[in-house]
Amino acid sequence: MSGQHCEPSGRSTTDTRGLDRFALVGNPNSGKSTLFNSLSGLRAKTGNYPGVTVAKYEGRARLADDFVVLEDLPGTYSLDAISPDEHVVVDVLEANGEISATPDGVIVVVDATTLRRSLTLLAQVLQRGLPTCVALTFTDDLQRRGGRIDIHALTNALGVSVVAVTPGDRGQVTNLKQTLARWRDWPAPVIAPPTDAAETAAWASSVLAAANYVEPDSDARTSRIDAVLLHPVWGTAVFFAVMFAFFQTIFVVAAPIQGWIEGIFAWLGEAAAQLISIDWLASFVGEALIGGVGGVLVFLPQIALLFILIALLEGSGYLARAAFLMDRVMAKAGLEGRAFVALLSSVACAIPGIMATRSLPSARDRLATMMAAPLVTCSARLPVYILLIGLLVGPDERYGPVNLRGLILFAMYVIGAVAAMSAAAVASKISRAGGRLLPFYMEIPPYQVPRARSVVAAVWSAVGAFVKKVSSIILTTTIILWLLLNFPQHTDAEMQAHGVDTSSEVAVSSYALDNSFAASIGKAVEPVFEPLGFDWRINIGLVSSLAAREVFVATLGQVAAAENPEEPALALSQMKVLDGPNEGEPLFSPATIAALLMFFAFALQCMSTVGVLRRETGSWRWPAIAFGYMFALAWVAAFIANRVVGAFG
Amino acid sequence: MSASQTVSAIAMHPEQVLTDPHVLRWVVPPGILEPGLPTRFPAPLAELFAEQVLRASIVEESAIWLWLSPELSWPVVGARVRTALSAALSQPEGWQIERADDAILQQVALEVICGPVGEVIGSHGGAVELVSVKDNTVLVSLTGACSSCPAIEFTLRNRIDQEIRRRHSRLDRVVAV
Amino acid sequence: MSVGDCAIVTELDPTLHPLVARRLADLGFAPGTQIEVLRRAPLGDPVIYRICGYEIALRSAQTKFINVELKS
Repeated sequence: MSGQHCEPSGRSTTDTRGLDRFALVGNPNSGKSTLFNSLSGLRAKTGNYPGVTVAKYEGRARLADDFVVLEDLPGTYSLDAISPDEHVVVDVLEANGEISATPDGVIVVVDATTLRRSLTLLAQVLQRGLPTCVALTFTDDLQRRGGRIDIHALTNALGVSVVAVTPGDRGQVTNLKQTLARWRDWPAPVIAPPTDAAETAAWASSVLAAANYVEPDSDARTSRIDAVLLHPVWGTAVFFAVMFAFFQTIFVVAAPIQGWIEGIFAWLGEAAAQLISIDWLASFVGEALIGGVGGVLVFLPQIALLFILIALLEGSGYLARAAFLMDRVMAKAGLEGRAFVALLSSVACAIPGIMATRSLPSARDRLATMMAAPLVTCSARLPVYILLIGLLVGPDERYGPVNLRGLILFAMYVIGAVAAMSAAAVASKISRAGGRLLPFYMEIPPYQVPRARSVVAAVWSAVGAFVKKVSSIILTTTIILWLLLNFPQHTDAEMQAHGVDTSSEVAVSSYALDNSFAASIGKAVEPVFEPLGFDWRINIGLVSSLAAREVFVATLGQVAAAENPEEPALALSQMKVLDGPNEGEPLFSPATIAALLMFFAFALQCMSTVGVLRRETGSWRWPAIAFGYMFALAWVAAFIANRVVGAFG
Repeated sequence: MSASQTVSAIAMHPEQVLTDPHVLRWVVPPGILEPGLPTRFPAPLAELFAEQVLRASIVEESAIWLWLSPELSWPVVGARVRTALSAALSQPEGWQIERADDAILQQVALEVICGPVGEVIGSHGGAVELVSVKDNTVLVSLTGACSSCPAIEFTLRNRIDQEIRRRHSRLDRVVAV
Repeated sequence: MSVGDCAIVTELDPTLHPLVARRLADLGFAPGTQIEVLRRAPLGDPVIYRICGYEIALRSAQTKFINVELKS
């Protein structure tokens, strides 16, 4: 075997073949995931379980001699499965379907403060007959609240090893690791606990009595805090304050960091352009590669920050309270309170919002929320809205006492929110028609100080996952678009023959764009977008916005041969319709602008979002459906806007 | 599903006896039966004895010991025994028990000494053995580190005495040889 | 029931879907268990109950199937 300081030979960090496997089973809020983190270091997500939208968390723990694999199964109250998450737990324990083998051992994580309830689940696990041990958590809380347990007596009464684990107690963790190493010698109950509900309850009572279990009093600290935070008036006020702060933090803290990242990559791109002598290569490296990587990294501050905040909310226990306060509102959209945080996060960016849906226990709710999240007005739409609204109305126009530009922008946010809730409602109705309805229940845990390790683990996993799986999609999209927008290349001679002033960079880039592959696509899809009032030049912008919405602004600037592509308003307002019945009129008429606003409000243009949907749902099916339905929605809304505003204007 | 649910299920659970794999000690709420040697059982349990599934039984204050026939194993017949025992306990009048304090005390003392108490003493370098049981008095011999250990009185009184008394309140005392 | 009331669960309405009934039982809502109403959400639903030493929020859509007897 390995010596004290060598790694077991030949094992990469992802190689899990041949290692002993343990599954962690337990109630939600039982401290299971905290235990998983402390045993396996930084949390790793390794995709989804086959065929379902349930995340799979697997990690490796270092025991004395070797590594073992830990699988953190979804939290469940019972093995009588009524949801995909719970079916996964049963499937893993029984090696059903596509799961090839049962785990070598099962660690049932039991919260000492809710021991009676947890014994039902333990009984069900013991009936499966796998080697089982119990990790008893929150023993410190139990004692603090006046409860008692005799662990040795509990071990005798249950017939399995019971190990106490408290976060931060290294000795106990070592103890547990030693227990795991000896899994082949684990005691098992001579007779499995009863299956009948009444008999199981009786069995549990007997075991608790034998273990001299004293139930803890209610947590005084939690009761005091909840008297304020769950007060109908004060609680709601605090809630809105917290949500506002949540929101503001994203913009205030993340935005500048994003600005720096964008700046650094812009500088890098320019440096590449200067250092590389071959023009097209310089452009490729600068815009496609560096720009693409920059496009990935620019999301990191937002994702990291949002996940830190969500982890703090969840770890402290406040998330459950927030969800409790918002549940009635969310229920109207067929969702539940916990979906609120996911949708709120989407106001910054749908990517962390979609990833935040993991906190929802119902797979159906997760999917509905993921399908709805991209409709929420995200920060990438903002530059587009600002540009378009600026073209539509002047800076000082008012509607009554209110600035008209601000009013329209606010309206766009409201449209986004309403659209998201409606989409979620429809998605819920559709999936409800198919399957059983999961009853709503949400445990309200006592307040705790969030464990730093868990917060770090949550952020690390989110950021890592994003970088590993989604970055390739963003990079690919950026490169493809670069190709479409920059090819075919044109020689100076050719351009001069078409009357282009080759000394003017602006004229050159405008010509190149007008004759690029992207332009061919733009012309090809004209029939689709013509009823909305878009012409092929706007279509080029739409094509480019598939990489990221805000790219629309810069691309359109190039199309309009604007002196400064970042501020194209003047050039755009001067663009004229080239042919057809409205020839000569401004291209950006109120009707067209309104249509564009509606299109951007609803269309799923962001390939990064598509990538995250792919990752979180485990297949291309759902992102494809999302893309499709949102495109249809966008088209119809833009059409209506075009006709309605056209009738007035 | 058990049919006899007019009475709520008896709270009980089985525990292993260290000295003998064929017996299970079924922990039950105190006060249902008087401790002693049972001579007659209610029907469901009587059946199992008649079929030679169960061979012997003693009744403690809070537990009932059941010996299984050596050819059988608990995992196989356990559920049936549990159901029968539960039904039998809801008919306490169907039992007939002969008082036999010393016999019960013998089993309890042996179990305690071989079990957790013995382990603790062993971890201190000593050993404890059961010598005899008579008239509710338990005679033990403490050897090894224990024979010269100043904590002997404490060990006897607190640990062994307490543990045995918890299960058999009629214990008089524990004496060391 | 109003905030602060205590009650004992008597039975789960038989018209309740059996899987939901089983789940409620797993959560502790079995005949004989005591529940206490802790808090109501601002719009009336859901409600937080204390049962078996822990707190859980349920919607009226489920709780209307739980029959209880008020303790004075």
